Amino acid sequence: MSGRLDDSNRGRVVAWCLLGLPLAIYAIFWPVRARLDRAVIERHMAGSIWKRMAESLPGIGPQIILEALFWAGCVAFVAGALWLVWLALADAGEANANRSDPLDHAESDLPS
Amino acid sequence: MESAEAAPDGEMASVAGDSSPATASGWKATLRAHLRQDAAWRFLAVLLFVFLIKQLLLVVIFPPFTGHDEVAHFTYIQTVATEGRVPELLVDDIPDEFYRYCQYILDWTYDPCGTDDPRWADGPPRVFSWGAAGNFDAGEQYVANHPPLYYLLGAPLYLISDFTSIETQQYLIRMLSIPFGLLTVFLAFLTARLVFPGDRFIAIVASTFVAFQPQISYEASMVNHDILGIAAISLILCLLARGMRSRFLLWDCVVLGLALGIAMLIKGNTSIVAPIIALAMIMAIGWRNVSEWVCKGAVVAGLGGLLAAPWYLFLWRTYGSLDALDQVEEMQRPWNFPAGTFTDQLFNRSYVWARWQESWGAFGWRRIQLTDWLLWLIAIPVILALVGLLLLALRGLARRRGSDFLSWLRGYEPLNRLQVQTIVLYTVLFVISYLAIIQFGTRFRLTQSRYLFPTVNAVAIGLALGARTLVPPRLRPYAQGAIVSALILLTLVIYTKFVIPYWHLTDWDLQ
Repeated sequence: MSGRLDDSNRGRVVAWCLLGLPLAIYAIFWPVRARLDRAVIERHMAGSIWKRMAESLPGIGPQIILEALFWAGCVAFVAGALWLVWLALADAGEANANRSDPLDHAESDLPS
Repeated sequence: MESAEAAPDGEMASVAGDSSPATASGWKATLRAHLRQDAAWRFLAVLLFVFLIKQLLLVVIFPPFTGHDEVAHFTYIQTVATEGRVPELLVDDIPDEFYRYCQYILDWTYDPCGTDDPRWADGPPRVFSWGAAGNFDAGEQYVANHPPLYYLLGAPLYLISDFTSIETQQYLIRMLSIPFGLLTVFLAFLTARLVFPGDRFIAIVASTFVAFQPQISYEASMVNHDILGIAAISLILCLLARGMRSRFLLWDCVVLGLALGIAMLIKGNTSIVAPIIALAMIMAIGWRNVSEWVCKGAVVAGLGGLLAAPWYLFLWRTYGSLDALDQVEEMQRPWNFPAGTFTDQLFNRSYVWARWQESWGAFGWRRIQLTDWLLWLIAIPVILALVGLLLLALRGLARRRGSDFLSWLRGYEPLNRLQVQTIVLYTVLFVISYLAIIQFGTRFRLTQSRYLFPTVNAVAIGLALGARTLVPPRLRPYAQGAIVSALILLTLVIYTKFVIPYWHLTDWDLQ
């Protein structure tokens, strides 16, 4: 991946904007919406994921660490998911640049 | 469908140059070369990373013991770890301390089932009255008929965490399922590459389907032997793909036999794959070469049987049968009834819809159901992919007869003999598995579609092939991007609109 917006990856950038961006917006939208209503969050904190973890993992650490770990996991998942979409569209860039069937230059496999 | 111009074996050259895969360093070099040179392998590496993160999140998102029969499976592990034996049906009970989770235990649910109920001050109820039917034992261990391999793997984790709460131990043992989920995803990719070498679309779509299929992910984040069974069948399908290329060399048969034996030590219904192995051997070796496929089949069956024999001998001695289903039926007698006759279930629309619902939703002891609109939204592309498979078969048959029928199908690519055989095999596996859950339903009310999940890699490869047929080659990279996006979005929607609000934001109207 060169990262330059030349012929080889323009198709991928366009496709990624069409497919990956809604994914990112949805992923960001939900937690942001949750944060907007702090009162609701506070009211239901007793049943929240990290609280439950803290109760069932005594002595592991303060609740804030568990909460941070949970959100770090969420961020890693979203980042990984977007990377996945980017890689899935990798062939689109090649097809756009070469104007050829990507299957024409399909690569070989593991030896049997 | 007809034979292709080139056999896939010709495409199996290593991309690792001179690195010999026979040694550990050779494999490492081969893997590095794949990651460097092949976008599909790079995709797989990221997919496995995302799957791992997702599974770690799921382990903590689902409250303790809310997975399918988690308490029963956990206490099986407890018995193995602390007493060094397997539990017995109609003999062993689930310990009192688990009564607070009784709403997630079959036949122990009492309303209310709170442990602070003064009636249970001296211990939870152990007998329920079923009116005219009489009194029946409650709180019994009801998964003891399952083979012990998964529980043996879970026992060390139980022992090293014995100083903590049962909930902490449960979180830890849930994580044991994740590597088997990873293995299933990896095997989906590898099998797709073996059957369709060089085809990135099928490898990427099939492996992503498995990684984001919500029920497979759910199984890979709970205390349950299901995911180990799914991984075992996936391994056998991969070995079959490899064996069919080489007409089942002796070494392939030995490995296959060991895999079959291991599968049968994980879950009894994995034996459903045995006729599929036989069919694959007959197709690959040729039905006329009777002595060859009988001998090779005997190696597989003999090794598999030898490995699994101790457990099935134990079942026979203890219960008088190889499945202990008579005892399971006895435990469920107060409320069990057949789900219907064979034909009733086969042609009943509600029954089919219920299986579809369970295949995608029904999280947390079936409390969290997906809405019909979402289930239909999932069904439409699946139906389209099945139509693609049908068109592929019809075009193949037409082409063989020199007809132009369906010649407008730009995504059509002829399959070679091995690919046709593999798809036939997968179809037979799926049909047999579906009929088996119907057969189970003629005796048990609680027949479930999760008994179909071991076929997930076959289903994923079949659907990816169907989708490929509908998409012209030039558009496939965009299509695979769209499919990957859609599957990720499906996971996000399920967890943010259904699962997390249900368990953690109960009064919050997010839906």
